[in-house]
Amino acid sequence: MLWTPAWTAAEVDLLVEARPGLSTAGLGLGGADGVRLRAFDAGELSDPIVSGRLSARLQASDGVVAVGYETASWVARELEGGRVHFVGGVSRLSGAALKARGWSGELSFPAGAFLDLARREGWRRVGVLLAAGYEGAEAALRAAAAARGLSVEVRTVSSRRDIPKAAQDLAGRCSALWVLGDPLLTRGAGFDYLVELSLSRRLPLLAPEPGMVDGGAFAAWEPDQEEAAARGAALSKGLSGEGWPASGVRFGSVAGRLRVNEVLRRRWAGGGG
Amino acid sequence: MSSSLERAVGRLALWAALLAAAVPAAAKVSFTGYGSFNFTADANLRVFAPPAVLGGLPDGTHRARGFSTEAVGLFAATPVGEDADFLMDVAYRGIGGTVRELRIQYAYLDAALPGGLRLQAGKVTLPLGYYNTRRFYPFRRVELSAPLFHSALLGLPIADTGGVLSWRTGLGDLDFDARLFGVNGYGSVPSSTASFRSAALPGGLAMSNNLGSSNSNRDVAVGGQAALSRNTVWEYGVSFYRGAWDRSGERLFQILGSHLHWAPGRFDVLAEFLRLDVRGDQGMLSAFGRGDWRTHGGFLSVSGPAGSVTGRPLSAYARGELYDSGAADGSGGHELVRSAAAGLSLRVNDWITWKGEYLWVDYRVPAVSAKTLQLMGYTLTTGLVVTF
Repeated sequence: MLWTPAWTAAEVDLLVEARPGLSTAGLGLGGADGVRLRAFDAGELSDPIVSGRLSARLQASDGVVAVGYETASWVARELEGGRVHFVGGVSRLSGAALKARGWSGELSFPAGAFLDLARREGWRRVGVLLAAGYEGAEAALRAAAAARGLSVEVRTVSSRRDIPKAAQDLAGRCSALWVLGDPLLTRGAGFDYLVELSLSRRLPLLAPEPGMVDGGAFAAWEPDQEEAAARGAALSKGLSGEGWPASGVRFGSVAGRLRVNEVLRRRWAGGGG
Repeated sequence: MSSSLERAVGRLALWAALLAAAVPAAAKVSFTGYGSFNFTADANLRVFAPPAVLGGLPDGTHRARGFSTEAVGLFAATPVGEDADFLMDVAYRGIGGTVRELRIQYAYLDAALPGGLRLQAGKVTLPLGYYNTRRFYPFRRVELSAPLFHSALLGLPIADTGGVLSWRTGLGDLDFDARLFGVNGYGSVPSSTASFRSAALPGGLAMSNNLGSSNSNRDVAVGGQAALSRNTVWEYGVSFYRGAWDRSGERLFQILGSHLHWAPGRFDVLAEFLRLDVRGDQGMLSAFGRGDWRTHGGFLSVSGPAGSVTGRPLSAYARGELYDSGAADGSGGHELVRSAAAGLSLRVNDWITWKGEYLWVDYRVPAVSAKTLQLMGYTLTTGLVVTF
């Protein structure tokens, strides 16, 4: 036959933004591991023909592992159900949506990435603003802080109305403010409020995406894209045919580096306004 | 909303429901689409032609201003196999100069075959040139309008029922694509079996009307494309088409084209060259003096960044085209198509783009009784392209 009309074996679709050198072989994927690599050009996904075709394929997939921020945004917008696990880009999704769809994901940074910075900077207590649905990361966050001799104060918000009170409360008690993700806190009015609070109180704002440093955050994590793709591939092989991670958000383990807002750092270190 | 557009939207919705109902439960149908709407702030066109060609429209200067629905389309995609998808585009639009109507732009099975081949079978967009398959849709190009010869005379998109076989291989840093197709092919102008085109019939100059729902003869038109490319930075390709257009299957229509696409950084350059060969066309005897005629010509389009507006990227573009058609032996009259366009395109977000364009056109063809049909003038148009 020219093609097999029915599905053959369980397959996981690994969705990664295309870049030079990305290949099935390079990610250690072969034909028999039940993982299909789908590399895409981010600019192409605004094309309704390309987007529709990919969406149709992924809707029928046994499971999708989505690597990266742009991938996560597209998946959140286009896919309605099925099993999805995010590697690195889960901070783009609302916790409520993750919970409602039963999806899971890893943040692009390990808990220690920002806590090590806090320790170096002498911030003894770090305030953490969590959106509802991100509570799964709290236990690991507290454990990582304790291991470093730091303490964390956590406030959970469910809507934009909750942000000012929760943020003000943390600002009065902590040396830095850390946001893990969710568009409620990383986009629009919510993020603008946190940046304003950070600048007015000289309270370092730690953000999940490197682009947010340009938007006024003090520091953010910049994941290594190759490592993230490799992590996605390894995870996909393990998930193929097996149970999927429980719904919720957890810390990731992808290598990367901290991107610090050096302008803010110099200004605050020098005592300037 | 006009009543015809209302009916078209209703039919689009019906198509979507029928397709969703027909597909097995295990498969998922994904629907996406687009809309393209224009506002012509000023159209100043001078038309001079024999009354028989104008069909009741007075000649002289025509001014116009108004809104138009350029196209509304619904795309459907569904997997039907391990590496096979069924794809469809149902659109409310005009092809070339035809009246806007609901039509199936393409509907085909796209499947992987052994040996690295891919098959597209059904109503397919033909791999002729670069523009036809990759710039036809308004959301895939910076420009508001398409080149005049392609859109008004040749007819975009060139799509027909049949099949396309594709094969791709890597050559070091380069990719080589080869495509072969077999389709029903172009037939005669609808109102005359002896004419491929006719300057004496309303709408007779547009070849887009010659692609019908069935084969007009026993001849299967064939063609193909070979292209060499490097990532998305550049591509050079040649295309051809060969098929009989008349009922007896003896009079040939051939297309030979080449294209060069170059995208250095954020700039984009596209050049396409075209040669058409037609044999035994009685309809163009009065215009060219011969039934065997040729077209030579091409267009060049350049676009690049032009700053930003409230943080949104703005692009500027310019395009020029020139096509000359006449008797194969060089005698007789000539049909001339010239146009130039310049404009701006503002990408508001991934789904909304605003465009503005100034288009100048100069078209002339010897019509009947040695009189020339001439269309000259300009349009100033803004457009909105929405994808969903």
